[in-house]
Amino acid sequence: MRVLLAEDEPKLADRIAARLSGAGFVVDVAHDGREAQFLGATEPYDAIVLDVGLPTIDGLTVLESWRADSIRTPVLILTARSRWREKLAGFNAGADDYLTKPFEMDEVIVRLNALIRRSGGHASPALRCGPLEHDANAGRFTLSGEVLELTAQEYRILAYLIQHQNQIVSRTELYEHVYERDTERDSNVLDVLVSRIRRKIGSSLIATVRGRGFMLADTHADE
Amino acid sequence: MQTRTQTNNPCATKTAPSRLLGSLRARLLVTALLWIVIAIPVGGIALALSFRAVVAEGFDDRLRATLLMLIGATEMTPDDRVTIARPLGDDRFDQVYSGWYWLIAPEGDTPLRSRSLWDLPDAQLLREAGSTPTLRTFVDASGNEIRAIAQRVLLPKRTRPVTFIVTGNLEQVQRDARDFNRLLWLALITSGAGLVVAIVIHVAIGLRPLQRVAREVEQIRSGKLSQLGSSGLSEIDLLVSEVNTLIDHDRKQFERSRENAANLAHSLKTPLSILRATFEGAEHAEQREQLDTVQRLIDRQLARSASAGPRPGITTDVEPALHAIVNGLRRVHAARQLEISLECSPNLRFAGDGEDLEEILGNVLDNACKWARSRVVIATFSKAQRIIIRVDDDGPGMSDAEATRATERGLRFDEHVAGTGLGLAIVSDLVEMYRGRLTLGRSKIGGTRVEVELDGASATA
Repeated sequence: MRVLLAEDEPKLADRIAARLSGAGFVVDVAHDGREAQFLGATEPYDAIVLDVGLPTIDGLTVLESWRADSIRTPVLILTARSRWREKLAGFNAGADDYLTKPFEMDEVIVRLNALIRRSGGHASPALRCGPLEHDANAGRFTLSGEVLELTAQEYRILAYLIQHQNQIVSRTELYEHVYERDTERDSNVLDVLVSRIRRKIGSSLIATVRGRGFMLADTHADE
Repeated sequence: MQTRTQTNNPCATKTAPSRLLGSLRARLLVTALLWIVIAIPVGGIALALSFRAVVAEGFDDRLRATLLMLIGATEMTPDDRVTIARPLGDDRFDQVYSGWYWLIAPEGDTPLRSRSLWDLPDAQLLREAGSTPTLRTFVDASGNEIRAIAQRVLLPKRTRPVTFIVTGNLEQVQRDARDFNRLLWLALITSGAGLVVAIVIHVAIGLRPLQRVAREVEQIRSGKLSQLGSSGLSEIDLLVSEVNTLIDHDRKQFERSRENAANLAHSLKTPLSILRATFEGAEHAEQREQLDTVQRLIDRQLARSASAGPRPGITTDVEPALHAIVNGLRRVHAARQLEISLECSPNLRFAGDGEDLEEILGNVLDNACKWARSRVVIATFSKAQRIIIRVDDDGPGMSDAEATRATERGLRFDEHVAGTGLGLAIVSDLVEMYRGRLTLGRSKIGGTRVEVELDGASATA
């Protein structure tokens, strides 16, 4: 899952980014409103963490501009002001959730996972596809109850695929959501990673759709 | 702080003792009545006395004229005796004890008397009579008050003087005075009463603009008005514009301090966030606990300094604020399929600041949503100048002890869901500031029922 973190305070931004990466997210950091506005409008993020008090353009204006451009990426706003007036202004601008500073890092991860799950139309906290189950808050997959050993990149690919299960995910899309911006793209790497994952979870769960991409689906359920 | 102490005792002016002269109306009325009570009897008495004097003077004039007539009608007979040439033409001189008498007393001769006079004339009167008419008042044998005129006259062809006396019954004078007095007092009392009514009306009209201002100030306090209206009267409008300036100044000052509080919050929160992020992990439990305390204190104090409290002239529509918060919470809890039902009676107005209402509603509803299993039921209605916000959830509910602790100062009763510890404590602070009531209890749908009672009303009127 790829997220944008827009936070102007560098130390705080570093800490949040580090925790998010540790939890399996691919994180781009924007340090001011203008940069955040541009990235949010051009990159396909799965969720955005947006500080309200950004320099150059304030967070709520940035959010409004995204919503005006029909960018529906779920947004979690961070606000130093705990008044409901500010929270309501956030909702009005199009925020999906808020966190008041200071906050627990774990809380950011829980909220982000919930937002991403919800935007994929999934209601229950644990995503399931046949024997495969994803616990986003714990940052792990289980196969028939056994915890899977996955590398960071494998985890990201599988998390994106299970979020979009039963849909064809193109290589470009997968690439955009599991790698940071400006990474050199080599689609062979993706194929190698997917075949490694297949070896761990069984080849029947991930199908390669020729010329279009990959699809995670519980094929046994259809039979 | 300054703004809060000011609002602590807003009822002080309402409970002014109703002493006599403790009101402008009473003063005006009492002074006017005092004047009426003094002036009308004094004027009446003066008028009655002077009328009586005039009547008495007229009576005396008539007696003098009668005396002259009597003298003129007197003739001497050839045998040097006194006789009446012609009757005086007044029946009363013929009626016994009528009080109207005449007497002609020639010295050294038998006196002539009117038929009405049976007794002998007053000897003293005879003695006192001089060459000019003498007037005296006395009471006759039958109890009549009598006015008498006496004159000693030297008739022609007669050497010894003749004393003439004419008396009249003063009863008529008294009757005239009585009649006049009756009329006089009737007129005076009528005009006095009219004057009292006129003064009461006058005072009422005169004080009406002041009463209107007082009513408007009261409405500003209870939040139905935001500014005093112009009365079109120069004296009152001076006061009105001063009060309006004061209200405006007060508002601006508060906005400034709220802005300062918000800025302080902003500048404190980011370093706190960094500290919190730095002290992650089990080995820093002690530091995190300290940070929690700092954060709680800051949040509580900031919440307090940012709250407006009851302020003159400010009211808020409950429904839009409630809808905005419910919409926000529906979004936050979208993943949980929480059923939030809202029953808001229309046109409810809270007698206070919008941000404070949002704080109260936000924290109460947020708390209910966090605890609820699947349902939150919100009902708002008005009851006797109060608005009641009732929020039920079907969560685990609270024990009585927890309910008591939840609203206590500075206590964090909820350790499980981040960020809610202060919610109800902040609500409790705000509700107290607005002299409202916060009650926690068991809900019929299984969880907690939070009921907030605040000043306000249904604004249908």
